[in-house]
Amino acid sequence: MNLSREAVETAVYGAVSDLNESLPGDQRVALSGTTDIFAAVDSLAALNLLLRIEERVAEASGAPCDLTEGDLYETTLFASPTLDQLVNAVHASLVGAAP
Amino acid sequence: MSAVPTAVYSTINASLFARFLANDAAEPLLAVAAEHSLLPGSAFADAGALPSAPVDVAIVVAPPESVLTSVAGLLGGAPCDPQTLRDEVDAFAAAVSALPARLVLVATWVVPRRYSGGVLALDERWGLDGAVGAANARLLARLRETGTRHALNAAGWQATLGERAHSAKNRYLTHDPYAFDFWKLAVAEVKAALASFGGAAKKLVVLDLDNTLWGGEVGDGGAESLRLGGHDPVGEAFVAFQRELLALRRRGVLLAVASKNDAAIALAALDGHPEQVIRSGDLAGWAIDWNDKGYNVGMLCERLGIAAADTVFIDDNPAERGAVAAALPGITVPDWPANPLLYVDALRRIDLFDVPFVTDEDLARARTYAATRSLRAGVPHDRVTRVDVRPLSAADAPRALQLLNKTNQMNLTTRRFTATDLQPWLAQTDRAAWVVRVADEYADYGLTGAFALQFEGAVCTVTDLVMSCRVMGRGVEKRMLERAMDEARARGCVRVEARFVPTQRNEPMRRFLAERSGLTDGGDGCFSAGLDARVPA
Repeated sequence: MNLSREAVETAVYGAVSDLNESLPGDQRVALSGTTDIFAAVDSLAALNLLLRIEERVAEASGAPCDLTEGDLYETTLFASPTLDQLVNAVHASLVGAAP
Repeated sequence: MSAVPTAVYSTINASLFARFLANDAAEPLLAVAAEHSLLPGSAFADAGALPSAPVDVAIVVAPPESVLTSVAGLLGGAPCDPQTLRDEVDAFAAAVSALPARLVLVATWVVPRRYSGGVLALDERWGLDGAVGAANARLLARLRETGTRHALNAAGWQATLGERAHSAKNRYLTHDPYAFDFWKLAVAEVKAALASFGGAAKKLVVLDLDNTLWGGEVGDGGAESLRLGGHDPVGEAFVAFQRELLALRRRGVLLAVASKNDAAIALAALDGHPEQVIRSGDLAGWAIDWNDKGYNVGMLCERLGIAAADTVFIDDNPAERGAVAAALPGITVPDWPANPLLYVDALRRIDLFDVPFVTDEDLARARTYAATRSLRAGVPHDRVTRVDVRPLSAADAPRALQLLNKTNQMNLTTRRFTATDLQPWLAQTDRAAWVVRVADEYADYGLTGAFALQFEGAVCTVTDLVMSCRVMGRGVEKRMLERAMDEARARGCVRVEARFVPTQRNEPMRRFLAERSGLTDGGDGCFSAGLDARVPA
């Protein structure tokens, strides 16, 4: 799958915006590269976000995207990345490199 | 407006749905007071076992295999017995009916993610689609009997989204088989349904002519130059758009025209072009001249007695759309595609015309407006108006309920009711309600008014008084108040009171009370008079 980092960033930020529609105003996730994304939301929202990112990335690339299996899943759920790190990890997984 | 207490009942993890509902900014705002995740299987079969904190609105989402044992059996390869399935649906409907909520919305059953049954797919005994279809039909029939429990067309959400409706991963990660977009669509449908119950459905569509209702400019080349019908995709698209508008008119939405044109030329095209679908007789009014469109649309609204907030304006010209939106706060002015091939889709996407039920008065409304166009042009109204006031009967209740819930301008309190609220309220001996039919030599306007009274000792309180904007300006409201005062006198009261509750839209009612009712404003919204007084002529 060949998707630029910018395109991945757009997809991830779009997914966060979508997720924010399900959150109260004071709990919405700041759209900033330094936001500690999974510290900001509960586990259900974290899973919803990952699945939404998959949908957004698949929509942008035209090919399926799987973030809920293997290393990336572990990394994203347990390593508490920032939004920038999450974008990098997703992008790296798409081009087949280590995140 | 305060948020409506709401509960979500589901046999799956519907947290994402509940979160969207609670945080969606569209009116009406919902406060999700409770989210009941119920065990699949028998949870819905025992109404008494369901959580019971009362709320205004309950929303039920339960996949068929989680509440209908027969459908679960089909998935397991067993045949489905049609009678057993019907019994299971009836038990589910009974449980839904017993939920402690004024209004319950039930998502219809959706066939689980593509389950091909081949040629048996629609077979009620062996096919999942057949069984779920039969179950939905049975459910609709049962809900229809209640008057306050309604179905949401979840199959339509699935049809809209296709494969994107489901999420195989979500099913296992969060026990929710549906995808993000499914729930977003569900929330939009819930909001549209609740808005329609609250009387928010739009009542009037005002249309431009050139390049909106037809292709081309009639003033330049006359009717024969227009792109309308024929062997021309654009012409066909305009005809299809007009058919779609006419379908709205048949359901009670009024159509009007505001166009910068020579009226004689434009009307000749409307009534003379062989492919024209909408004729001048289908219009409740028109303003075809060179005046500013904001002014003309406002004037049409005023003449028809319909608030700008109940009106949609459609024009291909963005500048005109902007001018009308600026001139008439509250009016709905949708963005409009440049390509006429997309007009029908654009109109269908305006989900503001939905009503919870259609009455005979809805069906007759457009006809009566068209019939009274000449009347509005100058014949004095009072000369021809006949007003028939009679006690509210069971047969009149659906229309009375619709009036109470849809009327905004001539509405004393804007209290909203469900059938279950109204009946016990009226059953009390110190209360009574009447309905009003209005007709004239041109048309029968049907049941267009209602009022309710409460008698406490020497005081009669007008608790509700509503009147359709269709009969405003004909003195009908005075006749209603006169009748209320006659009833109060007959019951030995010496004083009548009407407590006005202001909203953003019921200023016409306040003006009536303050200027023409003969009642005295106590300064606190309470208008009153001794019953020796009369309503001024």
